[in-house]
Amino acid sequence: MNEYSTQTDSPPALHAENLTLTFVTPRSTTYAVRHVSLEVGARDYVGIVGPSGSGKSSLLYLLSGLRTATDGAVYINGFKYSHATANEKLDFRRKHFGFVFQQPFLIPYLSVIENVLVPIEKPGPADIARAQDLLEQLEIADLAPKFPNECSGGERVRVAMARGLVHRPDFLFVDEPTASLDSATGAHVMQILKTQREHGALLVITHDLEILDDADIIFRMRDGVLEETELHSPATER
Amino acid sequence: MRRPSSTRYAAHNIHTSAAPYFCSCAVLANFAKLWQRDKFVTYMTFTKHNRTQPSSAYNDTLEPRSRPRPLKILPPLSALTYYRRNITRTLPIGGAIVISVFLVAAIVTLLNSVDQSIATNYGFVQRFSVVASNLERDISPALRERLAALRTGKNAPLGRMLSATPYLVPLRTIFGEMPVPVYGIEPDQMPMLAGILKTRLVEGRWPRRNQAEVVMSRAWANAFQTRVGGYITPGNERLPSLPQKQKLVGILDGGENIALTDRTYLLLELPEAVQRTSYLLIPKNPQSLHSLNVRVQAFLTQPTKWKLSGDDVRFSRLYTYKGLVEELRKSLGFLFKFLAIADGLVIGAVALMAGFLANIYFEQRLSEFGLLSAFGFRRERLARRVVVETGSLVLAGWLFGLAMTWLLFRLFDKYYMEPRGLVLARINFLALQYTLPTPIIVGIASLATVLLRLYRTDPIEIMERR
Repeated sequence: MNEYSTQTDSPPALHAENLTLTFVTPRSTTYAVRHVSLEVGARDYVGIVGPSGSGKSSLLYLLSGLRTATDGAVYINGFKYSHATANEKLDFRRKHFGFVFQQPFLIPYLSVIENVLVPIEKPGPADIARAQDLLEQLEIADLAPKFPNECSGGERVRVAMARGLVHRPDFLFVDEPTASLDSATGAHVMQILKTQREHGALLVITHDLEILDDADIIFRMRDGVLEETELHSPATER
Repeated sequence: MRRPSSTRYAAHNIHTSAAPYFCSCAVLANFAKLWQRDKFVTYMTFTKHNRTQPSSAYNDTLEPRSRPRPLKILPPLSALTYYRRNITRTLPIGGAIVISVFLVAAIVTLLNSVDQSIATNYGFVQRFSVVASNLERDISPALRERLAALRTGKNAPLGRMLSATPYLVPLRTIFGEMPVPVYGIEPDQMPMLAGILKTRLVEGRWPRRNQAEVVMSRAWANAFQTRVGGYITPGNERLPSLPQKQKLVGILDGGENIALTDRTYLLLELPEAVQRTSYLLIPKNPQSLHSLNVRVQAFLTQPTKWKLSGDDVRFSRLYTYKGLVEELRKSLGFLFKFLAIADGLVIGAVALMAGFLANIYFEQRLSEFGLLSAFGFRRERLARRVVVETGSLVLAGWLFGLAMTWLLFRLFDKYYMEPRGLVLARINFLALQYTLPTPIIVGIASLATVLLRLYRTDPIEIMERR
């Protein structure tokens, strides 16, 4: 069993225990995630790196409850989230989780600002102001009334980031945030994403180790296994 | 998220006042509520000045804008937002519903027009009944005496009995030519008969004795495309009719349609072979008409009970409004059965198409629903959205289809039918009854296909498919 902790002072908010995800076919059993245990503090910035197919995204899906583990459990502040009913999981996810997926998945008929407001069922003036602020910070404020088809790939990713942050989630799950951005913009949006730590934890999956400079801890994933890390960022080491 | 007081006030109004009273139909109320909410948010403009939580980053780094730029925002998850932004997608389904509703409503209305044309042009039998012999010039004297006796006694239902000599003229109607009678009566009886039919002479004069003159209702004059001073040419080899032209000397308006001419003239000019005597049985008062008809019918169906022989009533017939309506329903029954089948086929075709289109559109929106599901929106919430979206579209299509049918038929009636004296029915309950299955079946077909897919949607599968 691989068991790791972020080893920060903040109390553990998310606790994964022996998480396993297998895909069974008549001929073989494939382990996407194998016996992973970890703890993430309430304000932690956690990076997970690894090659394609190593199980990073699957781990993210298990931690966020988008996929049900074959074995193991996820606890959030003591609540056995992974074993909750489907509706309990959905409600919890909507209130406490934010997502930035690899693809932006913007809704084509909504304007940029409306896309940012999608996670909020009935947006009020404060939500709209927050959305506008996020767009300002991400340097795409002028795009607010425009539609996704009028935005470049990088701009769409930034809209998706604003959408992930707009409701101040307790946990923000981010999958390859800078894949379609140039290095300068990537560094800038990572700075914005890190402001999430004012509200909650940040879990980033990436190939690019450089963007995890300020991470509290960086895990490496290989063949579904969370390996012993030698990749503590300078910030953590301090 | 707290809204300012004006927002809460508006929301309060929507929920407590307008929507519940808008319509008892839940879907309609929902539609109104959504519309109101949309309208409200659309006109709520957000600028730098009404931000409640300005970010420090903004304050520190950006210059204030010279002019606040209003930003119109629609509720992202509202069904109406989808419609407003996807007109090209909603039009085909909505249009199919509108056209099918129009088609069905139009057919029903045209069929009703056949019914109504006959009922309108023979409406005079609502005011009096007619007894005549089908094959002989006159009814038997015994039956005539028996009818005349209905004027006497304590509860006598008959007020007056007028002898009339009719001939038939072909009247243009929506379904072709229809024979209507021109009654030849004594000129001094004409105002009285017109009064009973609630019609009055509004133009010209009454026909004179022994003259080829006629008065008729305006609708019939329009159907003959003639006016006072003009002539009607009744000649029609297929009808027991007058060979000569008759001059139109007066127009009647209001009440039931009728045409009257001088009886003496007809007795002289009408070929003997087609001369018949009809008896117009005018009830003592409008309420007596039913009992009068019952009594007369009894003479014809049970003659011996009334001291009449079978020969006395042979070929005699009573013409009543009730009998006319029953005959109409019987003759139009097949057409309505045919209509029901055609209706079913139209609905089936539209439902298939709507279901097919709904499926295509849903396929295009899979990532949207997958994303919402990933964000934690319950399937019930997403399903409710689909139901409201589909329900609103179908309901709007149905109402619009009915409104369009009503409007087009109204215009057609006013500018084409009425000036030609043709009767066109209005949309009635029967039209609603035949069109109602369209939105219901289309709604079910669309919802069933979409909801089935929605409940099978796995957000991860959708995310990874891209």
